[in-house]
This record gives sequence, structure tokens and C-alpha cells, in this order.
Amino acid sequence: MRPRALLTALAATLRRNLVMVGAVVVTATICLALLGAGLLLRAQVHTVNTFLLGQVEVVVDLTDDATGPQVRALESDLRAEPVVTSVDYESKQATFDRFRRDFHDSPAILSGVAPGDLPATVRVALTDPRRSSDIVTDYTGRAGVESVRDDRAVLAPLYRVLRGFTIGAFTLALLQATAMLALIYTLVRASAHSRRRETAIMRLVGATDTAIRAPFILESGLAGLAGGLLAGACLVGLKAFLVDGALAGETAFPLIGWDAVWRGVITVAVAGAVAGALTAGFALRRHLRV
Amino acid sequence: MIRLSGVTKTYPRAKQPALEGITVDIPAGQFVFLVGASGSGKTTLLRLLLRAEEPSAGRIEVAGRDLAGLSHRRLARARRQIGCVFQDFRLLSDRTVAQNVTFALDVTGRSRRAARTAVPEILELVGLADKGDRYPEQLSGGEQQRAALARAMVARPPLLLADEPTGNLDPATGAGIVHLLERINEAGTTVVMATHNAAHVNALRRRVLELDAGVLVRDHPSGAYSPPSRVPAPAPASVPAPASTPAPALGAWAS
Repeated sequence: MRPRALLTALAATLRRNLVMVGAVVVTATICLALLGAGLLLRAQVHTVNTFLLGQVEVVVDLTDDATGPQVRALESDLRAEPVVTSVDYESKQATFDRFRRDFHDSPAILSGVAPGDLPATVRVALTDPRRSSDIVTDYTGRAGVESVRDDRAVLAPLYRVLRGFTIGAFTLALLQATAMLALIYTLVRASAHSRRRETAIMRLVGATDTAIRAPFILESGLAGLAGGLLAGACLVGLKAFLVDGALAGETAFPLIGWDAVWRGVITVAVAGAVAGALTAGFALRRHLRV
Repeated sequence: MIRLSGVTKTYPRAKQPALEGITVDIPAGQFVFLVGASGSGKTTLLRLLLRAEEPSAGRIEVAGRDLAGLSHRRLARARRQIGCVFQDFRLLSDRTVAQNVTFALDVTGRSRRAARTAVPEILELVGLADKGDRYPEQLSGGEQQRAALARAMVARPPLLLADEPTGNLDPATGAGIVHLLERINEAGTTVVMATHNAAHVNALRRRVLELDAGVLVRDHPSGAYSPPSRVPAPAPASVPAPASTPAPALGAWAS
């Protein structure tokens, strides 16, 4: 089939099914925007994880009466752990200095703490912060150890919220996807019915299977692509106005960058076009004789 | 051009076969009338030649190609060797005559340049040179059938199948279409025309294949046709009829 003839057929079928195609585009936009939001949330979890890999440590608070041999034994045991990358002893003074550094913006807190109030600590960095609970369990209650704190535990609620939103977005996207696929299927069925005389003549004069199916597949693929691009625009808006605008000053963690957004935009655009074309192909198998 | 050997077609859930044991050979360049009452199997035979249906048994060759087991692509190519016209014209109502004819070239990938010369030529041949920009609804029945013929012949296929092409036309207009088919045949195209109009058959005296209840009952090289009366009776082998005999009324033999 010549490209111009294909475009003519495509324009005719789009004109005829304008309302239906519009419905597919709207549904595809919602579905793919949810999918994209899910992808961005997942990227955000990844971003926070990567940041924390270099930041989070397990902190072992020592009792005031911890002896030198006890501390050295503790340090050497920790170094022997496969998940531990570094072990650093901080004296009471060094711990106090760090505390002053961290809270230099909060004089009210600083004024209530004297150098002797804070325990000496052993700070432990891990290869994988997700395995910190092993260290906490193994070293709590050991001689010379007051307590073992996992900085990561503080962040657990944040992770829970991010994961919850991600699962929610993907679930809604899946529900919306069934509506989108059902609509595309119906669009192709209606389209095949309204063009049945044309396709019958195409068959008779010797048009190939591909030429007969192409306008339908293109129609659905383009509707899916349009939905994908609109969803992509939503993701760009989300990054520009929500992430870079409202959230930027509200959190101490790094937020997703534009690279993750562009990856999301490309993914939803391709997913829209491919889902449209594949569903059309499936519907044509049932509703178009070639 | 066409070779059928022992072709039988039984539709699903049908008690009787629509065609049974048809063996016939139609050389290139022949004009063949396929006659018989409605339901005798004429249309089924034409549909088998297009592979719009598959035979239940037997072998069908068209233009040197065995139609069984052709891939979609090869089947499409095989169909480009066959032009078809039908009783109901089957034109696209939202396109002009010229666009209807061009459509056949467009969808089979022929170039725009080829269409620019082929379309006016074929419209001239069928007598619609000045009506290319009309829409089907602006044409008479005869003109619509001529437009359908132009579409069928624009790619110059070596075989033309015509399924009751005069069935919806008055006798004089129908005779004009048959004359056009005769000219197409004289130019070298093999023509198979299914009809139950005795006047057309008797006027031309070409090869006649007669079907009765799916069985080939007569194959005469220059036969006439005498449609069966309402009470079925064996037809005479050949009934001469003058060319001037008025054609029977439209649809006279339709069941």
C-alpha cells in the first residue's frame, strides 16, 4: 500500500471514529500518567537509597565504664563482619563536637547538653544499609555497649509511604489499563465494522494482509501514543511544579532528577503506542477476515 | 487459466454439498457462461476461484497457481490476477468513480504515475471517461456496473469473474454490460460470467457450463441456455434462440 493511500485511509478512519479515539486518548493518558507516576516514585526510592548508602551508619553507644580491651574487641569483631566497610571510634569529646556541628542551627538544643553527657561511640558503615538489623541484634547487650542505634530505622516510615504510593499508582494504572485495552478493542471492532466494505474490496483486488490491517493498527497505535505523550507532559509538569517547586525546600533528601523524568516520558509514550498497536492486532484477528 | 479437478464444497452444517465433483478446464482467452438456477452453486464456484472459500475436496488452479495452501502474501498476489464484479457493484459511496478505480491500484502498492495513465484509459474503455468525478449515487445502475468493471480491470488482470453482473440491470443496460465483457474478452482476458439470464447466453453463443444442484450437468462449447421451469425438468442439450429474443424480466429465475 502506498504511504499516501495509507494516510488517506488513516485520516478517514480517524474522522469517522473521532469520539471513540478521543475516549481512548483520555483513558490512555490517565492510565499512562499513573504508570509514569509509579515509575517516578520508584525512581525516588532508588534516589533516596543511593543517597543513604553513603550516609547511614549503625551507631554503637558505649557505656561510660567500657574498658579499652572491651572497645578493641568490639571494633575487631565489627571489622570481621562481611557487611561492615568501616569502623570508627569517637571519644566523648569527638561525639560532642559532631553534635555541635549537626545542631549548630539550634542553640536551644546545644545549650542543654554538656561535653560529658554524650557517650563515646563506635560508628559503623555498612556495604548495604538494608542489613543493619543483623548488627543491631548481634551487638545489643554486649559488655561495654549501652545501645545500638540504626539510623535507617528512623527512615522506615518514609520508605513505607513511598512504597505505598508506588504500589497504589501501579495498581490504579493496571485497573485503568484494562479500561484502556477494552476501549481500544471496541474501537477496532467498530472501525472494522464501519470499513467492512472497503476491506472486502481490498481483499478482492489483492491487497496484502499488512495493507488491510495497517490503518487499524496505526489508528490505535497513534491514539495510544497521543495518550502516552499527554501522560509524559503530566510527568514533566509533576517534576517542574511539585518536585522542583513545592517539595524542593521541604526535605533533606535528594529528589529525582530530570533524567528519571525523561526515562519515564519515553517509557509511557512507547508503552502507549505498543499497547495500542498490539491490542488492535489482537482485535483484528477476531474481527477482520483477511 | 482455470483448472478444477474433483472439486467438492460442503458448507458446515449443510446436508447437501454446494458443489460436487466439479472437473473442468478453462483455457486462457475463453468467454465462459456459468449458468444454472439460483442455489445451483455458481457463486460458490466463483468464491472458490477467489479462495474466498476453501474446497472440501479437489484441487483448484488459477493462472497456473494451485490455490491450496497459499500464504496470505501469495494469495494477495494471486488475487491481483483476477478481476471481479458483482450484481451489487460494491462501489465505495464516499469516493468518486475515478477514486474507486484508483483505490484498487493504491491498496496494491501501484505507483501514482501508473494510476495517472491507467485510470483514464480504463474509464475510456468502459465509457465513463467524462464521469470520473461523479459519486456512485449520481450514476445509473449500468454506469455503476461499468465503474465496477473499470475497477476490476484497471490492473489488467488476465481473468475476470463476473457474478450476475446484469442481475440488477434492465435488459438493454444488461446487454450493454455483456457487450463490454465481450470486448474485454476480445482484448485477451479470460471471462467467466455467472448468470441465469438466457438472453445474454443465447446472444453470444459462447462456452456454457451448467450447474444443477452443485453438479456440472452440461459443458457445451457454444451452447444456449434454457432456464428450468418452476417444475424441474431435464434441460435439452442446446436450445437455439435468436439474438433478438427479449430478455426475461429482471430476476425471473431467482428463487
